[in-house]
Amino acid sequence: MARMHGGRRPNEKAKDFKGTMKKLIRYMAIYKVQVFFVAVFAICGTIFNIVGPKILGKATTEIFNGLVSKVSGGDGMNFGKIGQILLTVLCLYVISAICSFVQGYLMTGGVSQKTTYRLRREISEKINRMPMSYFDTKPVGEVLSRVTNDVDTLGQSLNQSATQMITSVTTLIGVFIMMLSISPLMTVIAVLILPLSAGLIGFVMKHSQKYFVGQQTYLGNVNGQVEEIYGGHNIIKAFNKEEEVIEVFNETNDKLYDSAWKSQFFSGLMMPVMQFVGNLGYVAVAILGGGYLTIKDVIEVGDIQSFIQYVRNFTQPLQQIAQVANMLQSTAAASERVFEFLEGPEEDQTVENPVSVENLQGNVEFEHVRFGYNEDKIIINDFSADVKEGRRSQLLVRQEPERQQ
Amino acid sequence: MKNLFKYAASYWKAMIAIVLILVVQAYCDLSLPAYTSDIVNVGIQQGGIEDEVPRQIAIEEMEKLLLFVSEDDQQTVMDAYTEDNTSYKKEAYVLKDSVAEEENTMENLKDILQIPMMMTSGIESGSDTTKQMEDKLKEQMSQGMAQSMPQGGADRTMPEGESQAESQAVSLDDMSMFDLLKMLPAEQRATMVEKIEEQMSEMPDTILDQASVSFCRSAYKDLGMDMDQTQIHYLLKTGGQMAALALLGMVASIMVAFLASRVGASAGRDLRSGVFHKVVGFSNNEFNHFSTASLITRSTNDIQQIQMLIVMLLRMVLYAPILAIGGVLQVMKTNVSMSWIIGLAVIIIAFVVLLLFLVVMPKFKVLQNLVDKLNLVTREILTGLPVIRAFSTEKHEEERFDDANRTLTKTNLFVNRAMTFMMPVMMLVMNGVSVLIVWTGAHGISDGQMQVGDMMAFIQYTMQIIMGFLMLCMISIMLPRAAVAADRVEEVLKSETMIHDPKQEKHFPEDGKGVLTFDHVSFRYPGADEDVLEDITFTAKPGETTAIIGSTGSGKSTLVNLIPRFYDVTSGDITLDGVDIREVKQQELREKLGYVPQKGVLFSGDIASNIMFGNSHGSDDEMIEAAEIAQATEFIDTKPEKYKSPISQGGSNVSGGQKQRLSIARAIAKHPQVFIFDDSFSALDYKTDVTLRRALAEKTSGSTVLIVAQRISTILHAEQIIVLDEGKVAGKGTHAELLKNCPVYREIAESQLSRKELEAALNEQTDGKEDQIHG
Repeated sequence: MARMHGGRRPNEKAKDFKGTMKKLIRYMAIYKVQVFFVAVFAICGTIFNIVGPKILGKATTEIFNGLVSKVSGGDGMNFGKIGQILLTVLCLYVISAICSFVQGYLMTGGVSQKTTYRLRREISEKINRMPMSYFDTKPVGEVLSRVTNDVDTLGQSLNQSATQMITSVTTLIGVFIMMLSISPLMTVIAVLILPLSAGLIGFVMKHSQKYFVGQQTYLGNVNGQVEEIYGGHNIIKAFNKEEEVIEVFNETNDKLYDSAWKSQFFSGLMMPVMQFVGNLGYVAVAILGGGYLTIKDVIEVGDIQSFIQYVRNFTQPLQQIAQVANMLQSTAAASERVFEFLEGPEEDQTVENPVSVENLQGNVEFEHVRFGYNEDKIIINDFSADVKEGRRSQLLVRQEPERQQ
Repeated sequence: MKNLFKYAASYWKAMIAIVLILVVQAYCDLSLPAYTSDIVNVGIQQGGIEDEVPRQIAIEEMEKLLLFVSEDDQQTVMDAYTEDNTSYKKEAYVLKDSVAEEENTMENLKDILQIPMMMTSGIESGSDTTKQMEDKLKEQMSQGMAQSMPQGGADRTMPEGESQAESQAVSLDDMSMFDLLKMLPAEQRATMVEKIEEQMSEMPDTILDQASVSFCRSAYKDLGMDMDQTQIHYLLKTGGQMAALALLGMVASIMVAFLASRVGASAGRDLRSGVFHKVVGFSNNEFNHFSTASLITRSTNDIQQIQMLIVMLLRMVLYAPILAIGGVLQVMKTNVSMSWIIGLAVIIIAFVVLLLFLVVMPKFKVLQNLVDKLNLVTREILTGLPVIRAFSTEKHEEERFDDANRTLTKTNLFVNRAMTFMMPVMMLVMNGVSVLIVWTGAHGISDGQMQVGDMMAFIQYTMQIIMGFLMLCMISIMLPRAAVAADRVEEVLKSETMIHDPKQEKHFPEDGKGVLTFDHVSFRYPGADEDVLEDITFTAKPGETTAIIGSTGSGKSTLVNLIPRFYDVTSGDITLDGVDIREVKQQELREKLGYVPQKGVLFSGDIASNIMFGNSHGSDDEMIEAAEIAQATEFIDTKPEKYKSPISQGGSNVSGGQKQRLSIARAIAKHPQVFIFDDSFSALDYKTDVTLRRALAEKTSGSTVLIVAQRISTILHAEQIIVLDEGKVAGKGTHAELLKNCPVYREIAESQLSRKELEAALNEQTDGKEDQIHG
């Protein structure tokens, strides 16, 4: 029941990331239109959020101007104009909120939930088409896990990662454009932060990966032990194995503790590091731009101010994109398992010309039947028998260990 | 809820450390904005100069300044400076160090010099206003001079053809504003200054201060100081400080993350360990009370939730109030009249969160059940696949699944949509609050109550407070779920198992042979109305096989479950070698028992570890012997790894019959005094059954053997057969005796074997017995 974990989903790598993602996208292609609208609304919402502060800044400038004019004997503050600007800003924010809401509404409801519903239904229908032999080798728990855990992972991460990805990329592009519009030169400086952040993110992620995997593995181990021990607790008691079992458990538990705190730590590391990089970028831009370039009169002071604000907002979407990339890993792993199941072998359900089942009387005839669960271990070699309706036949078999055909 | 905090609070030392570090982090976070604005305001706009009183100023500039300073103050100003004619390209006055360090004096100087500085820079700027002033002054002065010029002056030699007035006028034109002003009487100058002061009183301090700084800047430039250098130097210094502060903040944040994750993981580890320990000690009663599945969930999923919440608690819940309080403190420093806005924002957010809470929480709980339901349906479909296919009910099952699927999806949809509703609303409230602040601030600034800088700062700090509050709200939504989990875990930890070791333990006699006696034993499950077993009395002797037979539900398994104390009797007692089994440590009791359950249970490991489960120090010979007796070697030897063949969890990779045989081998390898076979031969076919029991008989010749069986053929040869019917002993004796005397037994026997077979078996029995006697 790993469903309701609000926090980090530990990382599992998919075996074929690209292939699986392609399949997933194809699967969701039905919802093309909706996804398109989601993207549109997401972009709109983000744009308004980016532009909003800038316009609010204008209001501040107006106030300042009004103040100066008042002091130098002018009209004082132009409340009308200020009010107008503020109203515009408010409208923008409201529109942005509506856009975000619509986008969220469409995405969660329309796309991800419907997808998970479809997947589950298809799995259930698939179960009935698969040959029995498939289920002999797989424990119930495993198939169950695909229906619930994996589909859930898929649904949740679809929800979060898709919208997050769109907004983050949009913010990144938007901020980039704004920065360019102010000063291409300074943008170059700012962009230098990118490799630094990317490098740090990559470093942290790479090192934390093994702890995530470890945590998942040991969690599985612990779960397995718990299930087994609880299920056979009577035997444990009867053979006085309690101490030993507890010892083994504590060992695994300790390993789990180790990878758990490390993975938690690394995931909590990202934000402060990113913030720091952002602040560094701020300082660099301020010193370089403000100092050097203003002195050379290349840039105006006011522009520096807004530029600096935007630089601050640059690293956040980067970090969000990294998080999404992380999430995509587990999405891919989950969808891989789901698709694996859906592409499994099927039994031939239909026959060319089905014979009618009416008027069946119940004469069963075995004709030289040969059968084995595995090709190379034939159990029934040559069995022929005639069971007539209305008669009771008894199957007497000479001593074979497996008689459960 | 309190359970949750109890778990967290046990790590109080770490928590105190975290709080302290968080204070440092909050300090950094709250101070950063000041540095960022400084970099822009001072570093860039003001060129890196903060001085409002010139530290060094050219002598001629000072003289210009002094024109506007009153007589009394002039001395104060001059006292503050010393001459320095060498450091700069002009002769200059330098501010004394002693003065520079004293705040009060500096303030004083600033007040004195502020208006003069403004006026000087104003005049020097050569603006239109200045020009106007200048022309006016010149007019005034030339008139004044003409008037004060004495008539005559014959003794003055004048250049030919020029009137005095003209020459005066010419020389006036050449003069600068300052020269003119110098010529004005002091009182007139003072009046000018007063007038300007009046006008300037309306001006916000920030503008005045900026003007002072601007003057200082030009004064320094005038002295030939490298302004660019100063600016860069300032930027580097402030930038460096800011970077250091940011670094400190980051380090603090990382340390908190470190501590928080360790505490969280520790909590998880300790809880898991504690619960596991407890549950392993549980008796069947507790397992029935909680249900095995629920115990598994409590030991895994619930603890996971608690762990996650503790980490979040430590990182966010502790930080948020600190941040908010810091923000409040800052706000109080600046301007209190807009604090109602904060109150408003907080109320709105609280309202929205509450709404969400009420609407969504119940659905959350239902959601968990729906997931369970889906799980259940799927599990049933999978385990009952053969049945479904045989009876062709696939469509029906698909519909059942679809039902659960649909309901789950619908609820999920609702919950997720509600959650997505929340974020935009929060953002809107925050943005709306900024707009509101700007609007109110505009009025405030216009009324001179506050400054633009104050307003901007107010916005920032309000955001911080709201953020803090928001974080708290988020946590409070997650809290109930984790609290429920904590309660469930606590329930397990608090349960007392019903089967205890005695306070005063006794021991079995050293020479005990294994005589097991049931003395008027009755048993009913806890809370049941009726006895499952009533007044059972018998003795099982070593070297003999005591069989227990009865129809389904007659209480056979329950009876044998009493022996290892999986349950305790409700009346009567069970003794082993004369000692009541409740007076001996459970471990000692079980050491003497070899228990084989009805359904084979294996554990992950390999075949060897399973066989030697009760005898981990046993030899390989013992293992092979046990396997041989249990008729298991036949399939073990066909496996490539033989005894090292892996057994997966729950023994899912071996068949039922193989599991059974391994379970039997396991009991044999323990060399117990008392064997308990709870219907253990049912999974074996008849031939294996017979062979096994024959081999067993040799091995167990000295032990007490109890067999619970359904098949008469299994127990035909038992020395004592106990017939159970509806929990009571319906008959006791050998097969022959019971056939004659016990109608229940006869019924069972006849339903399984024909008369002829019974006779044959009987003869076999007697023959066998004769062989024994004679052989």
